[in-house]
Amino acid sequence: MSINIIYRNIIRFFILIFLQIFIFNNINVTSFGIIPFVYILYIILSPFETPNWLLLITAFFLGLLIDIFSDTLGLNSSASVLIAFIRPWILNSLSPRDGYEVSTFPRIYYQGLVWFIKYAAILILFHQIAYYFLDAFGFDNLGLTLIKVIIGSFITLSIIVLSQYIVYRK
Amino acid sequence: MNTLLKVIVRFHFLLIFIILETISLSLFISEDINKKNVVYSSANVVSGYFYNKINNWRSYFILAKENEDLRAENLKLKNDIQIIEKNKDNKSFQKSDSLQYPYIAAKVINNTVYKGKNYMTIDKGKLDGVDKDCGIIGNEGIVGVVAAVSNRYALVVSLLNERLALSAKIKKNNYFGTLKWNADDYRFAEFTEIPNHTNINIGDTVVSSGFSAIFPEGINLGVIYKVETSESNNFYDLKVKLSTDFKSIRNVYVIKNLQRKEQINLENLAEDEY
Repeated sequence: MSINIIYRNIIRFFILIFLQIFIFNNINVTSFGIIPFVYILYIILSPFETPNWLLLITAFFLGLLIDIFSDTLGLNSSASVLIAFIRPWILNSLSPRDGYEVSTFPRIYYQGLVWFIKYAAILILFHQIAYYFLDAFGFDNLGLTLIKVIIGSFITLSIIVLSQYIVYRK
Repeated sequence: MNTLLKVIVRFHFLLIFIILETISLSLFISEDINKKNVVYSSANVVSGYFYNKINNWRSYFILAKENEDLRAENLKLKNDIQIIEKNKDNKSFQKSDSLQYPYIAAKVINNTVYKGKNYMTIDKGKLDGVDKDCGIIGNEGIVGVVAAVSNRYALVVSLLNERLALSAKIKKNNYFGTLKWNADDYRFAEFTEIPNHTNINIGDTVVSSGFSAIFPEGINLGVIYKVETSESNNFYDLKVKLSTDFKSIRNVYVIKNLQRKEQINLENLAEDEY
């Protein structure tokens, strides 16, 4: 990985935390207060070559920083560590027959819309399941929790896919 | 030893995952609102600074509504003063020399209502005289309790936090019980431990009991919204509509009980002795 890509990822890390805390945390889409979790875009867009252990650790600190600012200590960090853990398997199972091309990134521009939606949707779904079931702390309000998971995943996915067209970069 | 190292190298990914997930989950589960560390909260120096800045900027857009609220509150206080003035000569009206509950005005700079455990951040801290376990009230009633303070900001456990239970009573007959949020809807809370032989109607006012050494007696909490009798025990299941609109709250007051220490010490002494 070139130095340039590493810098770009570090900057993305902080920009996404800032956007999440000061903009998206204040957007309540429904009457249940579902917010878009745009910060996991960092985990989604991390280059294919990122060492798995490194992504786990950055995901932990990403979640922890979001938690400190939103007073949900442990909630976002659990969910984001979980998706950093499953990401290698998702990438593997969605990979084309002869692997991902060298010097491409997990973005719509390189991999196509369908691939990106499949890939992002699985990660977002796992994140939302972990987040809302942990927040409800059990299966008491199962129906409501499931509604939150489904609507939350849909909203987060829409914004994340849209963001790929708004911030259009190779 | 060598094999152990090999195992660690082979399974390092899984091991790191287990370690980080254990840390996260234990942070989440062991969270205790009585031992909250201000550094890991939205009331720390950095976070407080940013929230305060953004709040200042945002407040320009809602000045009109805020003025309206403050004027309504002024009106109410003016009316109250008239009543007190009238009763001044009345001997039963006792005037205390010292103020037991001084107020500190504060602004909510960060607030949530949709999580299971909701917190607020306010723009007053240790330097302004705010301490842990101070009460927070708004124009319409009780809002929460201070959990941790930094120099300039304080973290408030909102009444909308399933770990906070408040001692409350029915205003008309003084029966007391526990008010707790059920993590469902930010407009309602549950009121328990009221025996089902008492006469309770929808619309009865629920106020603070004054037992907790945090809030003075008689501060508004809400009104009874739904009355249900439980089959399994002799208590009501009451649903209370909270008087504070937690979604739009901005101006609050910190209540400091100057005699709190004395009350707590006395209660502890009594518990040790008997």
